[in-house]
Amino acid sequence: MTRIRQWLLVSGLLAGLIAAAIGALVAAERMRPPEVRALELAYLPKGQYIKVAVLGYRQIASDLIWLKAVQYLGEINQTKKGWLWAYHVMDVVTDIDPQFVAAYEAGGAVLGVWAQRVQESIMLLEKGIQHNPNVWTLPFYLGYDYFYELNDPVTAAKYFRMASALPGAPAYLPKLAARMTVEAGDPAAALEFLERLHAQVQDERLREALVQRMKEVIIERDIQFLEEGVRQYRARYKRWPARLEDLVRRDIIAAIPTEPLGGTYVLGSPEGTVKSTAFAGRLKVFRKS
Amino acid sequence: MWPVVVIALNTFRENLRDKILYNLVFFALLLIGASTLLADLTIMEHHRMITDMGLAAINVVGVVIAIFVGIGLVGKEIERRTVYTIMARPIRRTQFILGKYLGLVMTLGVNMAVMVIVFLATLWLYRAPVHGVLMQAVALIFVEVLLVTAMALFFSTFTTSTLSASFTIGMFVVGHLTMDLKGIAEKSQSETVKAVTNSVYYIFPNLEMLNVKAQAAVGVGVPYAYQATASLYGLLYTAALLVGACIIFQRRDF
Repeated sequence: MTRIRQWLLVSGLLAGLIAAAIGALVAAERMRPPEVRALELAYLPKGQYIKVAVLGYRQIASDLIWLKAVQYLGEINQTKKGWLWAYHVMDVVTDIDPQFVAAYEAGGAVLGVWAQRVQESIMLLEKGIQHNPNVWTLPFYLGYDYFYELNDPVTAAKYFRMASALPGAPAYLPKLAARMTVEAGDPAAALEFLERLHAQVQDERLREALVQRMKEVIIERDIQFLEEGVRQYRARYKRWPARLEDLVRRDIIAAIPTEPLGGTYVLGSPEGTVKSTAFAGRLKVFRKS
Repeated sequence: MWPVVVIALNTFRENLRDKILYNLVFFALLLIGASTLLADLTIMEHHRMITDMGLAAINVVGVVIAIFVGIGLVGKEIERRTVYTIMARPIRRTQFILGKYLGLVMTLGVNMAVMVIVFLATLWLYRAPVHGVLMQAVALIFVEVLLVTAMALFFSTFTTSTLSASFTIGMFVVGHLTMDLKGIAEKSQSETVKAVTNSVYYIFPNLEMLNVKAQAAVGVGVPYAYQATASLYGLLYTAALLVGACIIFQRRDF
């Protein structure tokens, strides 16, 4: 009987210790400052040192750092420091394993489309192209950065052409590249490109960012359309319309398009311009010089 | 209680006789050698590298001793059959296990204290900043070393030295990865994957909780409440392993 009691006591002690340890772990997890996790990677040594330290296990090392980076990518705030940190991690991962295409793709797309850290995105993608000259997605994303973020359709088209010549590139690319060069400043070409890019990326947050970009391009297209109507009104009646509805009433346009961000289109100042109540800016890329 | 102290002191003396503390010479040479080699780097990087290198070396040396001496604590006594002469005395098996463990902990404590002194002296010599938070990192490293010693002892109560070393090293590596495993599981769609990875997470020790080296090296501390809770976690896990080791050792036939 005492033997059984002793065993019960010991098992109870063991169970109690394990339960208490798990309790402490859960409590410590909650207390662990979020910056501690971010710092783990922010203070990651340079890739060239890690490469030596991990001996021959470079792929495993880069996979592990990559997994950590992907976990915490959502946690960093969209601050300059946070995104620089993200770039640093991608740079280290690709230093250790220069053939890690996913890191260039995701890093390039996230930094360019989502974080609008264009210079870092370009550096990462150029490094990727240098080490992986046969991957079409890298010049494709680089084209996005030049076309959309840097307002440079000529360089963008160069990268689209480069992408279209690589194995596995979709058939629409050469045509799209030509169209974007010839019709630089045409929102319809940009919209088509963004739709293609949207179909290409898997990440939900990136897709949302791209949908937002598409809506902005639609607004630009609608504003150009409405401003053309306003000019026709002015030419016909020798005065500016009092409101946009006048264009419909005078049969200059069939209807005022629906604003995709939930606002409305109104006449702006100076006279002859149209603006959206939901999206204040105009997209640089379509400004014809 | 007295037999525990006697065994602990004997283990400590045995460790000293085995020249375990010679590793300190290796540690000092590594730290001072590396610091001299890196001296031509820029000031900021140089200081950071000495700090990083010192903390990493303290950690690695501590863990290596914990593993390779820890697996021999009980295994060696059984292989050499000296355990029979000890067990013939009025000593309980539990006391034997705890005494062995505490003896190695004493060795590790002395070892780590000397390493920390050499480390601080190196920092002072190269005029690198000495943050109080470095001690936070060292304290958590010591808890990690206590936990790894308990792991090695636990495995050595039921298997050979080679297998104990493999299991302990395996558990040490997994212990540094479970946090990421859990993070991956949280994003998984499958409930089964979540359940399995969560069980793995809670069964294996989470050694990353005891790792604040990177922050400490740049002078960023963690809250004391966190340090206390993480240490408590490490100590409770250690205690559970020791109870497990005692239970297994109790049932072994000699």
